[in-house]
Amino acid sequence: MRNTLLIMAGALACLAPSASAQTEAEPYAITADNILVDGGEVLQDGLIVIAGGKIVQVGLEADLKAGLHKDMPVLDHEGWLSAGLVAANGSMGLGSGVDDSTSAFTESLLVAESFNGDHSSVVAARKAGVTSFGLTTGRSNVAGGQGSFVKTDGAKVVNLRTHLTLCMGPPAIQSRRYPTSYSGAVNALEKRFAAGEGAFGAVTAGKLGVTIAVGARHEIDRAIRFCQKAELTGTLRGANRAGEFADRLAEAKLTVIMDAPVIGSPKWHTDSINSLAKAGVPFAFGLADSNAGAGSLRLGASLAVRAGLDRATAWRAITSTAATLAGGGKRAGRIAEGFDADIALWSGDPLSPMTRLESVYIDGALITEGN
Amino acid sequence: MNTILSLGATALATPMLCVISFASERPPVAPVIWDTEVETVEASAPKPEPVKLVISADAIYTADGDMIKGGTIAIAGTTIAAVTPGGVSSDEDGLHVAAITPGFIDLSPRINLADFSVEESSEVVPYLRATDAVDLYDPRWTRLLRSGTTSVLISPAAEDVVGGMTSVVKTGGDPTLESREVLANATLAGSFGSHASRGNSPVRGRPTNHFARRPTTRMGTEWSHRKAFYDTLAAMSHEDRKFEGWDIMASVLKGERPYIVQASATQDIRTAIYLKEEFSIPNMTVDAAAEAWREPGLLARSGMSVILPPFSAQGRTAIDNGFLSWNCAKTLGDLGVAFALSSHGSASPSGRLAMQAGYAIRGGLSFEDALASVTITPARLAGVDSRVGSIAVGKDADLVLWSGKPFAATSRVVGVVLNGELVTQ
Amino acid sequence: MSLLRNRTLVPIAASFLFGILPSASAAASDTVVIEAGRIITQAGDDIIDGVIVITDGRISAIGAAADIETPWDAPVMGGPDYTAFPGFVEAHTNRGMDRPNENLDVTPFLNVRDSIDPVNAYFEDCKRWGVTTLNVQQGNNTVVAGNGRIVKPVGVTVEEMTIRPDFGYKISLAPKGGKSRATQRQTLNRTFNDLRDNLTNMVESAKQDEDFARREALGQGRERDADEGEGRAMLGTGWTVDGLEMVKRSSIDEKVLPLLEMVEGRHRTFIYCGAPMDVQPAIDFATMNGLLGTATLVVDDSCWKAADAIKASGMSVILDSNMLHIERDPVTEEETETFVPSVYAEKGIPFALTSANQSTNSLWFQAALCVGYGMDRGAALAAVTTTPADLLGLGEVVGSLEVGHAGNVLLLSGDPLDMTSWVEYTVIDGEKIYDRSKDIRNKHLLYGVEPRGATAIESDASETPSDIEVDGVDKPTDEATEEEVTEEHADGHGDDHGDEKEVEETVKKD
Repeated sequence: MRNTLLIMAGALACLAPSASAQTEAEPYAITADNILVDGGEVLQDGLIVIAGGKIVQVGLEADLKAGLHKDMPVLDHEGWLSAGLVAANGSMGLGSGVDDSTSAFTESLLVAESFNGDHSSVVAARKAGVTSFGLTTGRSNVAGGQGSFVKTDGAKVVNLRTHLTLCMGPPAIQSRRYPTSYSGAVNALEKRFAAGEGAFGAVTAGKLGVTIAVGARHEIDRAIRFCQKAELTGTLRGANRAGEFADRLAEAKLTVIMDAPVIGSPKWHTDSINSLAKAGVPFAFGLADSNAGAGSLRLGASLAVRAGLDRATAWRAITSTAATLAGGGKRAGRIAEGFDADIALWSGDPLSPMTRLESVYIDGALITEGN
Repeated sequence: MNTILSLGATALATPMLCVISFASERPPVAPVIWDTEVETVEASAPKPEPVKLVISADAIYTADGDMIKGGTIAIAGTTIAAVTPGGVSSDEDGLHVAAITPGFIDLSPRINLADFSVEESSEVVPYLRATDAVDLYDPRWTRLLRSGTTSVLISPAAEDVVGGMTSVVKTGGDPTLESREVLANATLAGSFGSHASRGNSPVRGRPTNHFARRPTTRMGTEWSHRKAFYDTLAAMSHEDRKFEGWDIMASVLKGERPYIVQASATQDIRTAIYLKEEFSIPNMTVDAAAEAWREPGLLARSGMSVILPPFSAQGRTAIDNGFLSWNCAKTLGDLGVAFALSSHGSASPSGRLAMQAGYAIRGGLSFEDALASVTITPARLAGVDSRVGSIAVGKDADLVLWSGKPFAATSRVVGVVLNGELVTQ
Repeated sequence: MSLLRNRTLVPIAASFLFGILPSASAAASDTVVIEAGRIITQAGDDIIDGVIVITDGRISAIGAAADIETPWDAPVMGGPDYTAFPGFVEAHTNRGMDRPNENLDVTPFLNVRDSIDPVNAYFEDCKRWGVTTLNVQQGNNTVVAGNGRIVKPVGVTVEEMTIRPDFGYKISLAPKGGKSRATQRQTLNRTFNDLRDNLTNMVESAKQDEDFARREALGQGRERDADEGEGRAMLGTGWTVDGLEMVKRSSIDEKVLPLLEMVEGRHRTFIYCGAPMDVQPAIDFATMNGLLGTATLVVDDSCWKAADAIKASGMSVILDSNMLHIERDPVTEEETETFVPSVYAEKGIPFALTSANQSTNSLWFQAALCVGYGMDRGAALAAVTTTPADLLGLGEVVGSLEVGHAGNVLLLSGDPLDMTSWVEYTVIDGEKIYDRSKDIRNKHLLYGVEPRGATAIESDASETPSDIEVDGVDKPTDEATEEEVTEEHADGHGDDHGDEKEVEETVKKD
């Protein structure tokens, strides 16, 4: 690219590194050696056009370059371009406000009201390439607050009410307050769903998603039974062992958020992932139930591939599927027309642990250089 | 035809000691006409399942009163297809053991998620289900199964006056409630003695949590019991007096559902009997009733049934230090009181349910009565005796295979059959 | 306790008054005859309708009734309904003491004589379950523990109970509380290395003293004084210190003298292994210090995995009371069970069983369990009689019913391995020391009969033997029972006594 330097200079002039509020009306293009569209599809020497914070065009450079406006800035990236990573859930930005422990039932609380977009955990997330995530509570309430889909840039809340978090086991059940038992929690939820008021009614009406925090096998079993009995479809979170229940999950049309595998994860964890993939159960990796940082998502995806998962499913577990499960599936997680311009530029294949993150764009604005 | 053969082929593939032996006379099958749209076959009579397992033994103890000297049991599907006397000689190809008994039933296994299995925020919660708080993945179930216990009653822990509904569940098979549950909401669970009141504190100053409530004493527990049943009587006749779970309490009053309460010490058993008599509860059982031997006449007159706790070396048992004499089972049996034994979840060589039967025999109980107390009697007390508890055609194929005379210290459980599947040692 | 002692002196005093010494009877020689429908001798075939004659505490004759001539005036016990069996031998136990171990690591100077409590309920249970010979050693929480003792469960003092005093020392390869395996082995090795060093130093200094004494005598022109000559050359198959004969044994620190004697092979050692990884180090330690011929391994239930090493060493083992070893595969989560005694039996390693608690897991039960798991009945019974007897060096004395052996006989109501059998009588050295029909605690357990002193529902008017004052009604249950039993054997010779009849009457009132 002989003109690359000139164009890059021009592009750099337009894109000040710290400009958090890019004049979004100004369209620009990015070319890259490889564009990871959505898991399976890689465009070599591809080009995307971003305008108004959205992706407006995706294609091969050869096809699209010619049709661009001559003044349009084009950023040439040597390396890979992909959608910004999406954590299916996380509690970044909540600090200590993860759980409200006064009562077991706090279903009308909105987690977004505790969200601090400048918190170090949010900054750390975007420096790892995570551009959006499902903000969620912990699991200290039988019915916790309602989660949102947020960006890691500022306090941008994309979807305010995405899901209601439920938990039928400890720490939501505790001896100090009602309910103290699994059976009491199940009964309490059954009654509330039957009454159908507030958030519970919204869930039953399909206006609000529902996520059930689980852990041990019997908790997964209990959650599946509960959903089938109450005729709910939702997501199990923290369900690392979900693969053992893959067929039942598929039948009940439930989805799964689990911890990303880490180095040294037991074999059953990656076996579980493979079983889910085989049964066609949608799953994604989340951050809310583990101590791992945002960097674990990408590493987890590559470890899953190493353990036999196909690349496409692994990639989607940290992008498009994650976005869908987090309640932002129409907005983020994919390089496709109409989607938010949440982009990550990498030095190489993002599924390789050797790859470095080079820069992150959210809604078309350059937010950070990578670590 | 093909289906039978393919079933046979899959059965052969299972790595267990099985003998495939087809029924001696295959019943005539209605001619099948296959439509172009292949749908399920409509036969005029249901096709009998093929026999997939045959076990022969020198002695088959059916728990129905008979002992078959030398016979075979044929299993088809999950049930017993045939019980045939007349020896199959042991050198024939097939599974042969010294003795077979029905799978054991323990009504008080006490394998639960501890505090999380009982709702302590309120003391009368008949509407809660113990199966919502069960962990079927607990390895202790498998150990119980290997020791011969095939069915158990899943109950809440005894911390509530009325703790909720129980279910009869198998100890093996797919670890889902669907595949294991024999009878849902089989009985209602309750508690006398110290357990329902311990941990509750009288209010001094401001109550800080829900433990500042009654009952704090045995009389408080009894009061809660009586109030619950009194309110039920009211609910049964007044529309505006109904409360959550009244219908479940009412079913107990009507005798439609057994009421099984924990009562170990003499005074607690007495209190339970008084409650039974006051409200004319038709079907009631005291669990962990260690001191049932002290006033057996009272028990016999009341029609109360008994579940005994495990025998102990020094006599004192775990619940409220109740003293269990070793001849208690015999005493109850002589008076016609229905009783079952329990191992409280132990599968160890000295603690398991089969050994409890041995200890009862040591205390003077007859072999037949000991066998009944771990098979058909607990089945009856829980209301599942149509499916389990004895060896009979049509009942679930739950069997315990022995290396010698059952319950002897020198005999061992060499295999267990559950729902027709063989679980080897 | 003191009250108890006073009370038990009374019957002894009373016996003296009536001219009956506790250990002598009216007959010229102390002969007892035991009849049984079946005698299991553990030394050959069973004897049907047999007779055992015990004279002065030893079996003088045993055989079919038709073949044996019995003295006309000897008391007879038993009958055709009974089965006779040798008293069980408990190969190794630390019960019956106040605490099994001291806090110090190396305590060979201690002696269980000072810890054994003759009235401990454990000994009472041994009588009940027919355990007539016990090897009491210290517990496993030690590096080198003190001197043990072989006792019988009869006697009000330790001396009365003793069969063989100062028998055996306990060594542990498994880490004592607070130690790691490394520091455990270090302490153990250092103990014996220090011993060697000390002895070497003592020899050196004795040589110097000897030189000096010789020169002094020479210089003074006199003969040498006779030496006390308490020195003795060191024996031992492991290591020796040359010249130890020059050192007087009495000058060796009494705290380490037992260690020297152990190395010399003059004491048995019981070496505890808490895990398979302890076994080879235990064998190496024993070999190095010359203990191999006199040591027995006491093994945890997981040590079956090291059975090959044990076989190669030629050592015998004493098994843990838990005989079913369960392991869980961390990946598949499957549990596998191994029946431990079968492993040793198959490999031909001599093994003895031990009992866990008094009742359900007593020695008969352990043997029965072995049979259930496929072991030959003879091998199972040997593991609780003749094998432990041999291990304790008492193979000619206990463990089987043969002429010349101690008169330790059980009379059971049925086969010893049968669930419905009870020990009806226990005879030790020809003396009936347990009679189930008079066993109050057994009655309590079996029938719920309240022991005297507790508030009973049944009224019990005349239970009191005439020559003993009863102290108050509100005595704790346990003490009341223990008194009963202690009184029993203080004056009971198997002859009828007034109190026996009264107790029987009370029982009939139920």
